[in-house]
Amino acid sequence: MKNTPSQYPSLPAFPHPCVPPSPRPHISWLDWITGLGYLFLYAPILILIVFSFNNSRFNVVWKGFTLDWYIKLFEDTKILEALKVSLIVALASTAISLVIGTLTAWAMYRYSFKGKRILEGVLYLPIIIPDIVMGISLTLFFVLIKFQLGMASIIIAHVAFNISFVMVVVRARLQGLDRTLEEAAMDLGADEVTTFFKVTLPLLSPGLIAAALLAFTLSFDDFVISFFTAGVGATPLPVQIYSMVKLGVSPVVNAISTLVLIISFILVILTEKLQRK
Amino acid sequence: MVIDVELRNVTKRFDRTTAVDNLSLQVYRGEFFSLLGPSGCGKTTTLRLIAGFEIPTEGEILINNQIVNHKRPYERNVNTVFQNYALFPHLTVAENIAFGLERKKLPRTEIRQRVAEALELVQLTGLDHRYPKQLSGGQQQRVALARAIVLKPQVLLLDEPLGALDLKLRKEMQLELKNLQHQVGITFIYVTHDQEEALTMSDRIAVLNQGRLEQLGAPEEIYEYPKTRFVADFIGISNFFKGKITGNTGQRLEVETEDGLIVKLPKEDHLKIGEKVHFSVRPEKMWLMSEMSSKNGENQFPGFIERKIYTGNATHFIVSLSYTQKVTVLLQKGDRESKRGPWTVGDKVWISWKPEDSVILKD
Ligand SMILES: Nc1ncnc2c1ncn2[C@@H]1O[C@H](COP(=O)(O)OP(=O)(O)OP(=O)(O)O)[C@@H](O)[C@H]1O
Ligand SMILES: [Mg+2]
Repeated sequence: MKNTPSQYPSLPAFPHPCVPPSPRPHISWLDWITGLGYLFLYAPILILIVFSFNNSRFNVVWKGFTLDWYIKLFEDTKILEALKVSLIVALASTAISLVIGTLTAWAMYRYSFKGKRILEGVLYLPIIIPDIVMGISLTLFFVLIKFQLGMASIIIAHVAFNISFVMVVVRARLQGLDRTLEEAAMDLGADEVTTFFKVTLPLLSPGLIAAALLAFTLSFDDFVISFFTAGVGATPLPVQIYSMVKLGVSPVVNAISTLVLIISFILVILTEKLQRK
Repeated sequence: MVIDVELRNVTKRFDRTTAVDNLSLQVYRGEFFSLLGPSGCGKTTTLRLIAGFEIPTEGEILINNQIVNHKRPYERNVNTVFQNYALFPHLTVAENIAFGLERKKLPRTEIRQRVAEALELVQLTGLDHRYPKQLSGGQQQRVALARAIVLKPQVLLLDEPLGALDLKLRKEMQLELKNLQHQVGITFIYVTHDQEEALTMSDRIAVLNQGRLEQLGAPEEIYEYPKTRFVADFIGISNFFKGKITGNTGQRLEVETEDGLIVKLPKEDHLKIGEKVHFSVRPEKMWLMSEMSSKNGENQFPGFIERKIYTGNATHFIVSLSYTQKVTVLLQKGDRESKRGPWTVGDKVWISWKPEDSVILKD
């Protein structure tokens, strides 16, 4: 019996997914430049992390792995105290500036009144003025009104610049907000306050998270203004690190920097996740 | 008849523009009332005044015979279907529809039940957990409708609710909207710039132009007896004539147009010889003939066919009667007259219309 394929009705040609020829990986000059850019950005940070595990008191040659510096770090009450101050200042100033900044931005967007443009300009000023000028003027101000320099003065100073940043971020978000949504809410029976909490605020929330993160980071990072407004009792981390560096860069500084880096990293990933929701 | 909404000499001025100009009208309970007019004529502003998003510069707005000029939107028993739907993007379909009911602090079980009913009414059952951006334009439109209707307002305001839909869906939704209105028995104030939509759906139409009321009446009234040139032009197609009255004999008014045509019109007592008049004739009221006819004694004029436009169920002929006067004649398929054709461009024809099909316009 012949069993040639021709005896069988030919199968209908199923459309099968087109497999594109795999492109040969080739590295263009663009990739090189991108690589260089990343190297430029992250090499110093990588070196910092690597040397935080270096078994040597000097940040020059690799002498083997150790966790000594981290142990030392957690034994150093001054650093831990400074970290606590920084966290409290960052959290408090973020919370306060978020509330004030959001409400101000909303009022500016919602209502028009005389001198609005000028007031707006003034509110954005802290972004433009050099930190050093702000630092000095705030200190002068506190001294003048005989306000005790300490944790409270740092928080107030940080709120002063964070409000502006919060406003810029929230303002941008408000600009993209559809005004008719608020009108729809009122049309359906919601008064102004309910409308704000049920419609405006939820729609603003991605902007608010972004603003809070920015404010937290700016506050946590700040050195110049903190340096001027810190009192004897309360030293934030950057100021503490600075005073340590003055005596020579100890790998403990590398260790604390690495930890701060990891915290920032986690925060960024968290917001990414939150915003994608 | 019960009056649901009344505007008394309402004017709304923005910085330089007068969006609504001394507008007075009454909307009766249960009627389908349309605001019709070209873009920028103040339709949306009128609706926003009624909804409470704008405060009139002058005049009074009454809902249920009470002046509501300074009442906030949430204090008025009217609801709006917005032009862009304005669905809350952070809420699901069901939450959107429940929004107004929750503000009324109704018990949960009642809210759930009424949301389900509303979804069924607009045929969206099963989509309650979707977010607005997961819906098609037509579905979003229905949600917007359900969200307003579920509150059983006294008056529903609709701002070009079908404007964003394609033609076929729009026609379907027109019918559905009309049925829905019968079902729920709510007064509709409906904004549109589409004259056909207004004619097919409304009980009464207010034609607006530059914030002023041009004419208010039933669709047939507006179409058959336009009062102004604007209305005659905006609604359907019209042939316009300008002339001077030369005679007022018996039952007929005689007008000599600028091109020297002697046209017969129905008698109008208040017009005198020598007075200037404008009048219009609808294209479908005119007919074409190959020769002069003894049957149609009055208003027969010779002309040339300049263009012929075929539109499927009808044909438009552009006929020039003189250098300056051109008219459009519309022949429906199956019209008696059209069988005498077929005329083509360049043919000499006679056009004719009955004196009573001329409408004298205020201008
Ligand atoms: N908030 C406002 N400020 C200034 N001018 C406005 C405002 N709202 C409307 N106008 C003006 O008022 C006039 C009427 O506007 P309106 O929106 O009522 O027109 P419309 O009939 O709804 O037009 P469309 O069919 O294009 O929607 C327009 O000239 C418009 O520019
Ligand atoms: Mg409009």
